[in-house]
Amino acid sequence: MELKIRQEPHATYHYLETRQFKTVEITLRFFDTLEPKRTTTRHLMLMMLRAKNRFAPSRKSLNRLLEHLYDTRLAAQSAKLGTAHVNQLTLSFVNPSIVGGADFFYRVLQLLKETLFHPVFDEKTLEEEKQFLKDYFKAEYAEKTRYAQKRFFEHLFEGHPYRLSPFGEPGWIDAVTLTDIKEAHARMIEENPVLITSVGDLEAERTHTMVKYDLAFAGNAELPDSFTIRTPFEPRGPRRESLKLEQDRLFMAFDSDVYHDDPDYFSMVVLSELFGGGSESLLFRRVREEASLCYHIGASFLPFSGLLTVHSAMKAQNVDLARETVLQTFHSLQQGDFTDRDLTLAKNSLITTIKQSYDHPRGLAALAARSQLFDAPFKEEERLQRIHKVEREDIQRAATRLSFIFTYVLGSEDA
Amino acid sequence: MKKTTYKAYDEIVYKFTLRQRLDIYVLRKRRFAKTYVTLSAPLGSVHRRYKDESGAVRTVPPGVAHFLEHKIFERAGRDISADFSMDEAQINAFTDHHRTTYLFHATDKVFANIERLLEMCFYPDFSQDGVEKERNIISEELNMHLDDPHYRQFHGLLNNLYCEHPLREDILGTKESIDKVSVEDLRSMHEAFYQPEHAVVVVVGDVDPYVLEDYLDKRVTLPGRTFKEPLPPTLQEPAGVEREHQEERLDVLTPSLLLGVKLSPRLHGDKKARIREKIILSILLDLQFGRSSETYESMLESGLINDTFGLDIVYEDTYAHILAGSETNEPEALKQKLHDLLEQLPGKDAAFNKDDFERVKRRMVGSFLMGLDNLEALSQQFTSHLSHGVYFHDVLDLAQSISYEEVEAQRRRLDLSARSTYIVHPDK
Repeated sequence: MELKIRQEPHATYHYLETRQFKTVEITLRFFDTLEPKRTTTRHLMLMMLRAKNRFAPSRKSLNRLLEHLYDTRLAAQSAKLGTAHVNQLTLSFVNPSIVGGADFFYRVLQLLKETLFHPVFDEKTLEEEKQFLKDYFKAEYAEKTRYAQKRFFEHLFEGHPYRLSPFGEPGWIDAVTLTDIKEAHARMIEENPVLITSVGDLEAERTHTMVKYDLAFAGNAELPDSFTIRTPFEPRGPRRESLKLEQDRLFMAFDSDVYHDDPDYFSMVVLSELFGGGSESLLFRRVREEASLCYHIGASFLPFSGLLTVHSAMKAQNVDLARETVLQTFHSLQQGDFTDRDLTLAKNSLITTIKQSYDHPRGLAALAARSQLFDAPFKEEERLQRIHKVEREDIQRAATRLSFIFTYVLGSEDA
Repeated sequence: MKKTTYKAYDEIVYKFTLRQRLDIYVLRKRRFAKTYVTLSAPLGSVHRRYKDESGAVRTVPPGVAHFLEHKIFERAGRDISADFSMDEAQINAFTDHHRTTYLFHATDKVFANIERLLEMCFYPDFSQDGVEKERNIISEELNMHLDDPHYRQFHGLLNNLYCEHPLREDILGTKESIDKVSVEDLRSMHEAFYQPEHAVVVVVGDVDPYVLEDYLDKRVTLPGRTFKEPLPPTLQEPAGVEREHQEERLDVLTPSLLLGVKLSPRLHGDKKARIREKIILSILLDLQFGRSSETYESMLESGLINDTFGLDIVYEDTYAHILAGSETNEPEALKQKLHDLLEQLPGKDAAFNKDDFERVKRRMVGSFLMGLDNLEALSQQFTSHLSHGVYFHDVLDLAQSISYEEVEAQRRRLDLSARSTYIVHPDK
């Protein structure tokens, strides 16, 4: 499958023509900077775009229109890509050739046009969206693993822009006015760099002509090219907070100077998989299978901050032993204490994930975006090669670039 | 090999029976790199009894189906997952009330991985050591659920909605029952319920079914027939509910309400009629409570619900119910509103017209077609519909054949009187 790129004065367009799917997806990504009030405003504005527009002036009428268009889905999502805030709108619809051909596609495209260029911004909708966002932040507290992760990152990223949620900050919600919303919308349409991706059974040239005409942006065509703040994290003492819990949540952080553009990036990706990527990882085997301390344990590498994090949950009396076992496993990894089979298992798991990433329109759109923004390979063969090339000594070298910095426990009150 | 073609949306379903005992379905999806394979055994948390070789009825502790799911992966004291991973497959499993499903997705060596899956499921290797080690892992899994207020509310509601049904028990069992599970319990329940005749394999991906059949025919030996007999759950469920309402204080910041309606589905007879009944009910509830309904918009605008509002219909072999719930700052008012709406639903006048009905049908068509791209969801839907005696692919035609008059007739017949509500309040 070939990625066709069309660079226009005010936007970048990606086309992936394929008959693999019965779904077609068009995704728009608008890039801006991460700042507390701006991010909160942009998120609320995006949700208001999803709520109603000139053509469908109520939530009900918009939902009815989407249903009438064979369950066309309009998804609005705020995301964080390193230091960038991304407002993302995705329109998913049935392959027009099955349900109505060019006329159906035209109607879907008009809906997208109305959504972007003719929103209905009113006080009532803003107040509703503010309340939904407040409810969302409150709901984070109910899910204790999610809440523990949030607290872990809050401590870890204290005073750092990464701390910010892509949905903004609760403290800024009430301060956002309708004027702020309108200004944020104007900035998105007229100034933000935008990347548009079409995946599915749509012919590229014809689609480009229609999309370019209907979605006429005026923004900066230059997509952002820097997403990383290369500030090392200082080691800090362990933190424990408590709530009424049956199970303590354990989070640990290791810092490195390896980011997504580092020559050791792929070594770190394989290391993360080997260390705590799945049920064949070293942590899963030693902490769960051999010591029976927990139900789940995993590790993740964060390529924009250089952090490797570990997350698990267990009885309060087992936390210290689990933490020690994680550290021992890490030190033995640094010493090269893993088998060739362990390394093959980690690489195989990543290979499977890479091959599957071409099996979904959204995955393909994300791959295309990554290849443009980070100069990363799009083709499967190139991506697989980078994993295949990682050897034992690469893992050990990457491991020496990691150092343990922080433990956070959200534990039970009576422990 | 039986081949069923769906020309309108370019899908084919193949079926063959391995050694005249194990049904294998292949849903061929050309151009996909991933193949998704499931094996479902008819052992869920509600099944706790079998008949042994002497004809005596034996009962095992709650949670055995789930415990067994964990231990199926053990081979000579180690986890067999790594063997799948060596062949580019990632394996997992889950247990629900009615079945246990083992699944993998692979990007290479699909046939070898299917062979390994069959061997793993039909020839277990339980050990005393392995069972002892697993107790703490499952206890931790249970603790994880106990910290989840949504799970506690859901489980609490099922306990109030049903009086006797084993659905009331946690799928994982209790801390006490997990301690009681023995190697013998696992072996016996496996022998009784994991017979190839009762299991189903579904393969979704770019797989040639003829080559697969040939491969498995040459390489797979199925286990000998067992003399243990699986027994269905004991069911003496009355029409009413155990408890109409309950409130609990938990460590949350926003109150929430969950309402359940126990239905009396046709538990016997024509399975196709049941699936039709379920589709009509889902259309009705969509029209009444869906995101494009007057009701949804008015509840949202009045602040009775927020965007977490959800609706679910469950239709299984031995039970059926509707669940509706939302976070809300006015749980009492929402409870009353939902009760009123459900009282009115079977009433004289419909709150929707033929245009609404046609729109909801178009939504179903779109949802069905786009769902064919998601291999995991497709496999799950296919397996679930097999138990209703139809292919998932037939549901679209079935839905298309439903008329507005039929929906109206079922609306007027609806009995939504067996209801229960569960409110969670913040504890501070």
